[in-house]
Amino acid sequence: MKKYILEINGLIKNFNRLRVLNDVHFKIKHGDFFGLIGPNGAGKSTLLKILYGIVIPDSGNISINGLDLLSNYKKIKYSLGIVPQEDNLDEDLSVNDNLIVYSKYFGITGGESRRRASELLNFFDMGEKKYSKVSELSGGLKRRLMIARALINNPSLIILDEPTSGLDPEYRQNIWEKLKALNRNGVTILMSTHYMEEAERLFKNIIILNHGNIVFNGAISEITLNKKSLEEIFLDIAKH
Amino acid sequence: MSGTEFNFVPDAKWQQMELLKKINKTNSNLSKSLFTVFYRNYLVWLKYYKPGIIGDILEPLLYLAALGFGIGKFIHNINGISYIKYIVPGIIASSSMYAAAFESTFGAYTRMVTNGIYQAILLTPIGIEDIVSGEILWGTAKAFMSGTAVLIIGTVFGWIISPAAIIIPVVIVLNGILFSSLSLLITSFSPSYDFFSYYFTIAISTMFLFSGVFYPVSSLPYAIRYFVYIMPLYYTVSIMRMLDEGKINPVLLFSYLSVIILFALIFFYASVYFIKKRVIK
Ligand SMILES: Nc1ncnc2c1ncn2[C@@H]1O[C@H](COP(=O)(O)OP(=O)(O)OP(=O)(O)O)[C@@H](O)[C@H]1O
Ligand SMILES: [Mg+2]
Repeated sequence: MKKYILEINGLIKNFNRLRVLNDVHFKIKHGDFFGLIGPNGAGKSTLLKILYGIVIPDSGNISINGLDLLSNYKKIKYSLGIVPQEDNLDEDLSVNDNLIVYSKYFGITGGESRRRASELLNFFDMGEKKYSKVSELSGGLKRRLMIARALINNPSLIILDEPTSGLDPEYRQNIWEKLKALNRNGVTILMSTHYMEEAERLFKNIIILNHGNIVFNGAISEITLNKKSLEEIFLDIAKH
Repeated sequence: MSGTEFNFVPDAKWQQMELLKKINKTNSNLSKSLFTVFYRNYLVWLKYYKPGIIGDILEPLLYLAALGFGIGKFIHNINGISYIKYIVPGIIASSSMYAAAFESTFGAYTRMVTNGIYQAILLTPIGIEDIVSGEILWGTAKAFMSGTAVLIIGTVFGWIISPAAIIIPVVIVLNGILFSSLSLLITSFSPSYDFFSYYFTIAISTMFLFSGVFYPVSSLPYAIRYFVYIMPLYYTVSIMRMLDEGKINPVLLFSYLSVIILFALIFFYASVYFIKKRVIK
């Protein structure tokens, strides 16, 4: 096993002359809870979308578990769990069928698929919602189902794009607990946020992104040991 | 129960073994992936199939009855065949065209744009080619239901002429692939649902009226006939009529089949290209 689960080098992305990512490079170790922090429009989603193949970079190298990502998206997807910023659950299917159908996309079928679906629904305290319609779920439950769906293939790396934004504190806390539990079980997590409290509670290592540039890369303790809080640093950065 | 006791262990060895297996099996996975996309649509269809069946099956039968009996009263025969018998193969072709076209425009647009289903699927190992193939397979299944329903009714009422008509379902499938891929291509650059009215008026209705469903194309003025030859439906109607009447001209059959397959391949690859362009930035 490689030391790093994810390695990114020289990543550049422009959208019609606007440079959204500028020479982004960082590494994530196995088992890390890695944070991607930055104000609105910093390029967080663009970076994550490149990792899951919805955006193609102009240049750069990305490898996951030592395998080149850009030429192996399909293969690598088997070990990724992805929660995009916008919910895209299947509104025409029940909660359970959302998981069952999704598992088929990974080649998981039959009893195995049903077993994982109910395990995940229990883990996210959604057992009673099994046969509910997705359209009847609250925003918080939809988000939990999004995360459950991302775990259906037992991924070794999960990527979450602001999974708690717009949620009540109670729901947010609940999601934090689940993510911490997953991380303790050895799942590597890469997650973006612009809530500083969330960052301080969850992340071990972070990068701070501003206008597509990495302005900090290191352990979160390096920042919080300083007098300045992450909040202040963040506000400083956002001013520029 | 407290959920945090969940025993989620991403076993690294297991993961890597799985990964290696998958890498060696990429080709066989492609065909499987196509069926999972199909399966998702089928599951949703099962919930709402009743209103759908009216459009796909009842409507062509209404055409058949109204025109076959109504106009058939005045037109005693075309080339020695009673009018209702004459239009059966055309209705089989046009109803399967409509079923595929509706599914692969309105249905596909809802999945791609309104509900973000493609975007969700793309987070998994399933690629655009698989999505497009699965969608075309699904549109073809709808076309098959619609077309074979007319064929069965025609057989029951004795409106089918030759036993060679038993091969018609194969042509329905080709017709389904053809119009699903054409319609998906239209969907790939459609900015809204409204855009489909152009497609249905300019392409689909025109083909329905001019491709020889209701009368021989040879009765049209020369100038119009040349337009008919660029209409894909003309070729499927012609083949179905050949089979129905049992008057098979192998040279024509072969060349018409080649035209259909050529059209379908162009539409398929073009829709893969344009859908990719639309969902991947
Ligand atoms: N498809 C696109 N076409 C053109 N510009 C885009 C596109 N996607 C993103 N951008 C631009 O790229 C920049 C970075 O956007 P991105 O969504 O990555 O930011 P973000 O850090 O995720 O912001 P937020 O916190 O609001 O989600 C923004 O200026 C945005 O307008
Ligand atoms: Mg974002």
